[in-house]
Amino acid sequence: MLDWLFSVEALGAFLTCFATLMIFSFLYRDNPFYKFAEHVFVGVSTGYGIVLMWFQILRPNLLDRLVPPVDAVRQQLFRAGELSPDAYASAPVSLAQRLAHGQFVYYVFLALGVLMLFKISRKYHWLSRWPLAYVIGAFAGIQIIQAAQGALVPQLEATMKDFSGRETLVTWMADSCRVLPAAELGTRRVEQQDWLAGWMSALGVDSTRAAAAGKAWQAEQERRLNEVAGLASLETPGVDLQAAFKRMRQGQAQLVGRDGDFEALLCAAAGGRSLDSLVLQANPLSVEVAPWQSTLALAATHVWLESPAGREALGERFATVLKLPATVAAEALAFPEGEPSLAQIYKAEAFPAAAQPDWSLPSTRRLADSLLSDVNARPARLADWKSSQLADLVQRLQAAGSGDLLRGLEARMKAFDALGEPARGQARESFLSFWHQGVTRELRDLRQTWLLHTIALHTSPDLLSAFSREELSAFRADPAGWAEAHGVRDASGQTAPVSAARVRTGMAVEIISNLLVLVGVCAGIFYFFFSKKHTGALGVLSKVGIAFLMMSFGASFGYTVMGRISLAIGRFQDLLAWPWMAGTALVVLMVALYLESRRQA
Amino acid sequence: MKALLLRALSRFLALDRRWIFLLMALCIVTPLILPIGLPFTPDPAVRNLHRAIEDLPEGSVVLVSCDYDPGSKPELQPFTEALFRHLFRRKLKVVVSCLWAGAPPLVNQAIAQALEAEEVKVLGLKDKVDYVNLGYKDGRQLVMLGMGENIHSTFPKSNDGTPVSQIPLMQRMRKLGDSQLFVNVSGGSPGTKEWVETAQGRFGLRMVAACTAVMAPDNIPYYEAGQLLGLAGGMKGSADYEQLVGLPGSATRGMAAQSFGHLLIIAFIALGNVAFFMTRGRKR
Repeated sequence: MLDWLFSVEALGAFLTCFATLMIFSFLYRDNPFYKFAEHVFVGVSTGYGIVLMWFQILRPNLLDRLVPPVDAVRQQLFRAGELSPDAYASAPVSLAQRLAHGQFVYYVFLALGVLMLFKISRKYHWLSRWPLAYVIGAFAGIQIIQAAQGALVPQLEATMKDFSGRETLVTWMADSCRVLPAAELGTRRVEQQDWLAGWMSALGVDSTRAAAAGKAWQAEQERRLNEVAGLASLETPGVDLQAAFKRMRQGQAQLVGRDGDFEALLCAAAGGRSLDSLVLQANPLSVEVAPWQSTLALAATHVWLESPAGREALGERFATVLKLPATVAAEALAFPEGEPSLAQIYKAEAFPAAAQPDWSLPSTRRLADSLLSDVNARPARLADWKSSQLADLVQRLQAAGSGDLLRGLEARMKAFDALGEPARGQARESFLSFWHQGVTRELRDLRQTWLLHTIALHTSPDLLSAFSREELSAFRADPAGWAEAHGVRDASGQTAPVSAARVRTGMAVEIISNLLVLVGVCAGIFYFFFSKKHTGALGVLSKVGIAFLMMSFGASFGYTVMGRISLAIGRFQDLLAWPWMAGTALVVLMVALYLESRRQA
Repeated sequence: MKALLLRALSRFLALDRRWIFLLMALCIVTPLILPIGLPFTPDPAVRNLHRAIEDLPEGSVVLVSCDYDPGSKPELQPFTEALFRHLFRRKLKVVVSCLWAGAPPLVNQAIAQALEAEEVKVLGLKDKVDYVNLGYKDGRQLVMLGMGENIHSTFPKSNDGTPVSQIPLMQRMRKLGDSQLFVNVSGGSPGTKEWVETAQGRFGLRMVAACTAVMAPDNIPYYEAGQLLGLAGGMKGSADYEQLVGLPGSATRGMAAQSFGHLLIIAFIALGNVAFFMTRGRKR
C-alpha cells in the first residue's frame, strides 16, 4: 500500500482527482484553483493539438510529399532499378534527391496555406481570400451533392407517409389473412368473431351487421381452408382433424402420420414427435399460436391465395363485408413485389405440372425432403447425411440463389459429420443458430418467404420458434411483431403477448401521432411565414406552430440535460475509481479554498 | 398556513444555486456508491442496432468509425467496449477508423479490454487478421469520400504504422461498400450526420450509429427515414446496448444516477413553476 502511495500511478491518480475537483470548484465560486486548472487544460490541449497537427496533418500530408523521407526515396530508386538490394539500406540520399522526388503540385497547396497568413496584414489581407475561396468552393461542391443525396431526397422520401393509417391497416389485414386460417382448429371461434366484429365496427359497420358478417366470414374461411388443404377430402376414414386436435390438447390423443397424408406433414413439422406434447393454442389474437402451427396455416393460406378464385373470393370479402376500398383490398392481397409464389418456386425446381402444389403428391413431399429434411436439426436425420444428398441440396438451393448460405452450410455439415455422438449435441446449438441467422437472412434478402415457410414446415419446433420470431417481428402489424418492435414486455422482461385491443390502440396512437406531426409541421411553417400579419386564423396557426416548436426544443433540451448529467456521472465514476485519493484531494482543496477566502477577507 | 407556504416558496425561489449543485452531486454519487439497479427497457432503436449486428453471418466485415474523444467518454466508451466484445464473440472481422484525433487511444483501450474477456480469449483472435485499427485521419468528409473509393489509399498505414497492403484483413476491405455493416460512434462533427449525408446513401452502406445525447435529436430523423438501421443515443443508449448484449458496464451502473439526476431536475422545475406562479401575485 505504502509502495503504491509513493508510485507514479498514485501521483497520477491524485493529480487527476485534484484537477477534476479544481474544475468542479467553479460551481462553488470563481477561485484561483479553478483558474489554474482551466489554464493548464487550455495549455495542454493547445500543445497536444499543435503536436497532433504537425505529426498527423502537416508532416505526412505536406512536408513528406514535398521532401519525401529517405526511406521513401530509396524505395522509389529501388523500384526504378537505380538501387541494388545490397545497397538499399546504406545508400546515401541527399536533400537534393529528396526534393527532386517530391510532388511538385503540393507547392501550390503550400502557397495557398502561406497566403492564409496574409490575413494579419492590413495591406495584403486580400490575398488570404484566394485560399479561402478554394476551400469554400471545394466544400460547397461536396456539400451540394451531400445535401441532396444524403439528406434532402431520403428525408423527403421519409416524409411521404400515408397519414390515414391505411398502410398499417393494409399490413395488418394482410397479416391477418395469413393467421386467421388457424381457425381450422375451431378453438378460438368466439375470439375471432369478436376480432372481426371489432374491426368492422372500427370501419363504420354497425355492430349487429358486423357480428353477422364476422361469423359468415369465419365460416367461409374455414370452408375454403378445408377445401384447399384437402382436409375435407382425406381418403383415410375416421380422421376428423379438428376433433383430433381437440383431443390432443387434452392429452387424450396422438396424431400418427402416414405416408401421403396431411397428418404426416404435421408430424414432420412437429419434428416427428407426438403432437400432444405441443400445446395447440390457435389464438392469433393473443399470439399464442404454436410456431409450427402458425406456419402451417400460413403455408395453407398461401396455397389458397395462389388460386385466382381464392384471391378473388377474399378480395370480394374485403370489399363487400369489410367495406374496404377495392384498392386497399387488392393491396392487402397482393403478393409483395419480387417474391416468387410457391408455385413459381416449384416450377423453378422443374416440378411437372405443379401449378397447384398438392401436399399429398409424393413428388411434392420429395421436393421438400430433398430441400430440407436432410438438414433438419434432428440428430437422427443429421446422422443420415450423405454427400450425394448434400450435393443435391447445394444444387437446388443454388438455383434459389443462396450461395453464401450453402457454403456455410456445407462446411458445417461436414464438421458435424466428423463429430462423435456426444459432440453432436454440443454442435446442435451452433447449428440451430446458423440456420436461424443464415436461412432467415438469405431468404429474407431474396424475399423468398414462401420458400422459408416451406422450410419451416419441415423443421423441428425449436427451429420454428426462431423462424417465427423473425417473421413476426418483420411484420409490425402482427401482434408479436408489434410487441417486438415496440418493446412491449411483461414483468419478467420477456416480450409479452399483445391482445388485439392493444394492437388496435397502438395503431390508433400511431395514426394520431402521424396526424400530430402533420399539424405540427404545417403550423410551424405558418409561424415562419412573416409576409402576412399573424392575426385571425393565421394567428391561431402560428400559435400552434410555436407550441410545437417549443415542445421540440424542450425535447432536444431534455436530451442535452441527459448528456450533461452523463458527463457528470462519468467524472464521478472516474473519481470513485480512486475513492481515497478523491477524498484526500477534496479535503486538500477545501482547506485551500478556505485559506484562500480568508486571505481575501 | 398559506402565508407560511408562500414564504417558504419565496425562499425556494431565492435558493442559492449552489445547493442545487450539491443536491445534484449527491443524487449522482449516492447511486454510484450504493448501487440500486433500477430497471430500464431498451429502446427499439437500440434493439434494431443490436439486431443489425446479430443478423450478420459469421466472418462478415464490420467497419467501425470511432469519431469521439475523451470529452464524450462517459457516454460513448461503454458502447464501444460492449460493441467490440459483441463483434468479437460473434466472430466478425472488425476494421476501425477514426476521424477524431483523440479517438485512437480510446479505441485501443476498448479493443484491449474486449480481448481480455474470457469468451473472446478462447477465440484466439489475431491483430490484423481478425481486427485492425487504422487510426486517425484528418480531412472530415474528404476522408469519407476517399474511403468510399479506396480505403487503402486513404489509410496507407494502420495505427501502428503497418502498411495496409500487408494487412490480411484489409485485402477484403478495399472500399466502404465492402463492409457488411458500418458502425459510427459519434461525439460530434464530423460524425453521424456527415457519415449519413456523405457516405451512407452514396455508397449504399448498411449503417448504425451511437451518438451523444446532445446529438440524438439531430440523428433521430435519419433513423426514422431508414438511413440508419439502429441508433443508440447517450449513456442510456449505451446502457441499453450493454443490456442487450448481456454485458452490463459503466453505462448500466450510471443509469440509476441518471434517473435520480433527472428526477431532481424535474422536481426543481415543477417546484420552481409552482413557486413562481403562486408568488407572482404577491410580488405585484
